[in-house]
Amino acid sequence: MSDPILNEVSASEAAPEKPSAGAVRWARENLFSSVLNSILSVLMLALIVFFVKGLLSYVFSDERMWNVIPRNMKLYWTEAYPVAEMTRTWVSLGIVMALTGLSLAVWKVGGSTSPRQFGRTLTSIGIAGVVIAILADASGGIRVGAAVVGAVLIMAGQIVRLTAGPRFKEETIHIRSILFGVLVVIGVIVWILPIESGTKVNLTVQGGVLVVSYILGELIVRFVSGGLARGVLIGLWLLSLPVIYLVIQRAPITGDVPLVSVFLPSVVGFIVVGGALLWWAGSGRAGEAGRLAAGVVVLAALASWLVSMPMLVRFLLLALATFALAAPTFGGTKQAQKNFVVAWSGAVLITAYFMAMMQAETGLEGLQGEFIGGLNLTFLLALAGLAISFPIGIMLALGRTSSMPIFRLLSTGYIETVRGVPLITVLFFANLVINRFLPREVELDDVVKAIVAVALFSAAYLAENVRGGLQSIPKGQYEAAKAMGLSTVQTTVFITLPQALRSVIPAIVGQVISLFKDTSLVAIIGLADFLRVARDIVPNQPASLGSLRESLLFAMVIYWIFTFNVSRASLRLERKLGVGER
Amino acid sequence: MPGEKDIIITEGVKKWFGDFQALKGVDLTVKEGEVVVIIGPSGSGKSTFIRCINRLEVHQEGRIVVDGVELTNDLRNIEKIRSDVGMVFQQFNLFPHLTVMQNITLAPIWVRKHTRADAEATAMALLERVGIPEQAEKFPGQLSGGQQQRVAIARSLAMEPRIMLFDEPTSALDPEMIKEVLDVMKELAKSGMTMLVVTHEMGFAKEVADRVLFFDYGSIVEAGTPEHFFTSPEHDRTKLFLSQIL
Repeated sequence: MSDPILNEVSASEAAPEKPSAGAVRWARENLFSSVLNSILSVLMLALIVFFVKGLLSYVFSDERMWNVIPRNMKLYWTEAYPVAEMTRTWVSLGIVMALTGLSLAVWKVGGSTSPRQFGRTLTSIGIAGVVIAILADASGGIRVGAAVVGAVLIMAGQIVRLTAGPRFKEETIHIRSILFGVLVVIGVIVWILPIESGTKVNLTVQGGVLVVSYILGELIVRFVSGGLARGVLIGLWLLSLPVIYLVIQRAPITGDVPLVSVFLPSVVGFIVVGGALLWWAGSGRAGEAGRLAAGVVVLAALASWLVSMPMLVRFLLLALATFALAAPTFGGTKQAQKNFVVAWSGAVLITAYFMAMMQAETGLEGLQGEFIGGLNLTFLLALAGLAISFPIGIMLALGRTSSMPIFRLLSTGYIETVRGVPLITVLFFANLVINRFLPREVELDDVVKAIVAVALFSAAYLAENVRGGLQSIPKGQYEAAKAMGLSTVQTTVFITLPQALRSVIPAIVGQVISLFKDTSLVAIIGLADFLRVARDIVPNQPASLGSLRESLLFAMVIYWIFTFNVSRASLRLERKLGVGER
Repeated sequence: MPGEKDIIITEGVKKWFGDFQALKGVDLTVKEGEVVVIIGPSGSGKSTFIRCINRLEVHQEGRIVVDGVELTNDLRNIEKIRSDVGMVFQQFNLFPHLTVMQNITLAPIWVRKHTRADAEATAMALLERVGIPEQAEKFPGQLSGGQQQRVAIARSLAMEPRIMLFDEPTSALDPEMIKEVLDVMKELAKSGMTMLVVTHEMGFAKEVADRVLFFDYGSIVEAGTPEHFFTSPEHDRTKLFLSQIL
């Protein structure tokens, strides 16, 4: 049994230690397998070299004013935010860093990698450095520097690969070591760059916060169950963002807010009376009367917008109506009733807190109305827009697939109208017209109007994505749920919606990415978002004139870093939830 | 053995899909504890008929009374009946995003309002009964077809139904897995459950059925005990069908 083909295969498998021969063979099989392929390969290689050379020469040319970017960091970051209050933005960043560190540890992002993979990555970066040295039309210093760094990295990569030896499969490098290594490299770069020493110290502290919280996270996971830690962290993330934007970066003065005369009685009243109502409606004894009571609350909630009434009461009535409608579905046992009432109390407190913070004046000097700009504004618009558009989008999708004609008509009308107009018109509309629809005493910030516009716009697209997911669910799922006696609401919440959302993760992530980039259109209504800072404000600083291209290139890289990471995270999520495997 | 009480009564049930009449007046009375096997060629209306009994399909004429409650458009009646009537589907229809345990406990917790601990204890006992307690924390996609169908049966039983409907439960299974599902169904029949089974498994019909119905062109052509049915069928269409499949 000496099959020559079999022997050849096993021989080549036994000798994987000659990468150079492998590379030649790979090239022959894949790039030069025929005459036509060879011509195409050579042509494409020439094109790539041409473009890369052009780009590198541009980026590394002596004429480029890259020092503009570190010098104007504060503008990119927050635009007109008062310099005296910059500590607040550092605290905000610190909160995000701490939560990031904890999350990385608790979710075990990346886990570990093999030395072989790590060595390969080092080598690739090194090769990029050498390519820069060869191709870039730059000064000698830069080319020599790039060549030296590249060569060192290639050598390091090869050393890691070779020392790992044949045991590379079993050995792993923990992601923590890589994370810390990258942080040290970034730290060194920060201290080399020409930025203020205060900023250097602050950035170093941020890195420290990340490291400490990561270690803390690893300790926590050892003592607390993973599920609990993840749940608490998600809650903290959700809470942190409004806290950062409403409290830390605005220093609200609550003196003018009627805390004692309106807020306290409303909160206590709604928790006690509303809680009692929900307890009764969810007890099962209520039956039809419970649904009737919920209907009355819905009517009261709608009527409250027609008469003079504190905003807090209006919103709490709306929330109570929603809870009352859901009570019979999610109540039943004593335990379920108790959970439901606790959830209601939490909702009341959070609503009251938000309303108080939003009605308060900002305590920062010279910042009435606009309190933030730059990358901070971009994040605020994207995150708040996403948070608001998600529930609305899901409701619209359910409405459009509903069997009730009135909901179907309203949802379809809304979706088709909003999808038919450009975001810019929606922004103009929000800026100029929204106030006409609101009670006279309510005056919205431009930022709030922009958030509303972005959210309403994005919701229509999100709704169509979710609808696609809902329609992909087999009929058998609905039948099985029905056959077990689940109600329509329960079927939606437990069966169809979770599956629908899972199956459209790629589309939703696409929507999130485009929402993040679309926020740059708010420049049209006079807000100074990140792109506007990069395009109009930084290049017009007296010391930075003529730096438009550098500034825009920088903005491009920043946008790309965030969108690329979102898309990587979504891939990981898809793999974890097993999309396409069922 | 069948009891005295009539648990399902259908009188003159008719059903159209557009111009096509799927059911042409079906009269049937099922006693409590009775095992009725329904056979017939595909397209004869047998699946449509049992799907009418828990109102997955809506009949247009005639009466259906299940456990003393008549099926009408009143939503409360329907949910009550559905939670008392278990159904097992040809394609299993397990919920792929939930574990086996969650699949089984979902309805007891949210429809029957049992506590989670009680529901999980019941679910575990049912998984023991269908022979796969070790699969509780897996997802349906990780199980074989036969195991999935046994989970589906356990899921229906968790609602403590008074009647079980089986809609071709073994038709989507590989031959070597059919037996494990039929064994569970036989055990269930012996325990006194009222069962309506649409199937092509003649062996099961012979061994377990109290009564066999032959469906063709939307009505019951012939009914009788298994001995009568398989040894001396009276109707020509029944004879033809049996000669084709046996």
